[in-house]
Amino acid sequence: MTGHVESIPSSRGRVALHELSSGEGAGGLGLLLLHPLGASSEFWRARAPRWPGPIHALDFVGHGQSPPTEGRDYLPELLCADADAALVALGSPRVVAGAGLGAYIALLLAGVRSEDVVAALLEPGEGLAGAGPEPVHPQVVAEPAPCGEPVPVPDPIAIERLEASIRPPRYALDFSRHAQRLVMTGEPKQPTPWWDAVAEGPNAERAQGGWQPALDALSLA
Amino acid sequence: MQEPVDREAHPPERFSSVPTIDGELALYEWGHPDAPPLVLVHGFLDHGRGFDRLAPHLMADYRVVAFDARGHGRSARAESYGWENDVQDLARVIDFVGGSADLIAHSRGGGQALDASIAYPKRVHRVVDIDGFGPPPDGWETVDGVREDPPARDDLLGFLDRRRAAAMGRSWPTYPSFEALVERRGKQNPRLDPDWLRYFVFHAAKQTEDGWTWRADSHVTLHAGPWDVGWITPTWRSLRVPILAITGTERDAWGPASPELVAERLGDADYEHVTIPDTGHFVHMERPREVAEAALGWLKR
Repeated sequence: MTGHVESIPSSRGRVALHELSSGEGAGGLGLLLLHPLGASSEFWRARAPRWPGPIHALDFVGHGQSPPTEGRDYLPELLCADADAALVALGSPRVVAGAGLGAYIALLLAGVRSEDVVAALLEPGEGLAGAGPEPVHPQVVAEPAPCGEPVPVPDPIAIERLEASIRPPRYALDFSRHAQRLVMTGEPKQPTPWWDAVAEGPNAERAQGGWQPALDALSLA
Repeated sequence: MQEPVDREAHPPERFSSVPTIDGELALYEWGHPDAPPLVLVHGFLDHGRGFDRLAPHLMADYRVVAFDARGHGRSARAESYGWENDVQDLARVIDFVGGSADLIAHSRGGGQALDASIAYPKRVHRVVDIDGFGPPPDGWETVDGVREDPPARDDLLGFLDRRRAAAMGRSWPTYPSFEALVERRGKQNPRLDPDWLRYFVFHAAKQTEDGWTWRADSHVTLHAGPWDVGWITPTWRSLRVPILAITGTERDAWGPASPELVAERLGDADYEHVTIPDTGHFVHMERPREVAEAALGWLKR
């Protein structure tokens, strides 16, 4: 695997995009990998995915080599905008694969950029379920963080806010309805209503046999 | 260009700033610095100087403090414009003026003030909320028809497209003249007194090489995510702060909220509702004296 990392602009600063493989000579579509909550592109590097094309992995803000947002606000939709920035930087069409939080963001991206994302491979992992399908009232606003405090990586506020994000099934379905193709592999460890709704809904299929075989099947499609 | 004259406006006596986690907020004060603090919270795409007509009626007995929300007026642009960022900024402003305050808040500021009272009960003493109760469940009826929330995917698509535009440095259009800006804002808020409108726009605007544009960051709409208007009422079941609701009666660009909607949103909260007739959404700009009388009468009880 190559080790090249590039800092790409998103409108909220910059994010780190790692090239795991240049895919030279393979001629296939590019693959963009989105990591679980609290992880980084290292998650994918350790897995060493095989894919007949260039492979890139994004570090979400406040994770890996992507600095935290200065305002320390985190939502899957805000992180989706960084994945969108990666699409702009890399070009399309592309296949996107995500694990945990990365899977939810891959779903959002596949639904919004339906022409650019030919398929999304989703698997369970950290940060998959968020806070569940409905808000708990009141949604508590945290104490303001002290000004000038150095922020650890991953940003603990990122973990907290992304775990608190609400994932209504009908909301998720509005994205899967527009996605070209969603392949869902594995089963969530905890009840995840959005995952079940999407898997039973349009444009989605459950894959048996593990992640790499599902990825292989996508590369042949 | 000289500041336009509005005889009812009284500029601030002191100017300062409050640091935030990612920038700073411009702050304006009237009245004695040792008097009890009264923090004024403006609405979306307004600014702290929008209280220049109201502040003079409050300053006799209070340290009146208005500020420009992040990305508005003279406050610094930020990368983050989530609702929570604003509510946390309000906590910072309250801490700056001593740690506890009464609030007078308008429109979006009203909603944020109520949420701040739930999140930070020690900081928020009482809230005067001027037409800040959220949209009605089916959306506002405007002259162009009912304005509905777009479906989730379309909403995020718009958000991602605006973020791509932001990354390319796109911003508000530039207008050829100050008067063109006044005309633009006047169309959105046709009820505002012409002298006040020019004064208000003057403080909302800045001159550039190419003409005039808004001071506000055009990316203040940078927020997305699942949100349902039906979440407001259950959240506000946790309201414990005394509230004075003030609304007008005349349909405007936004609102006003009907007494039925206010009652539904506030539920069993400790509140009173004052309606000011022949007034639209910007009650504190159209009727500053009446708003101040209602607020002071209630606050002094």
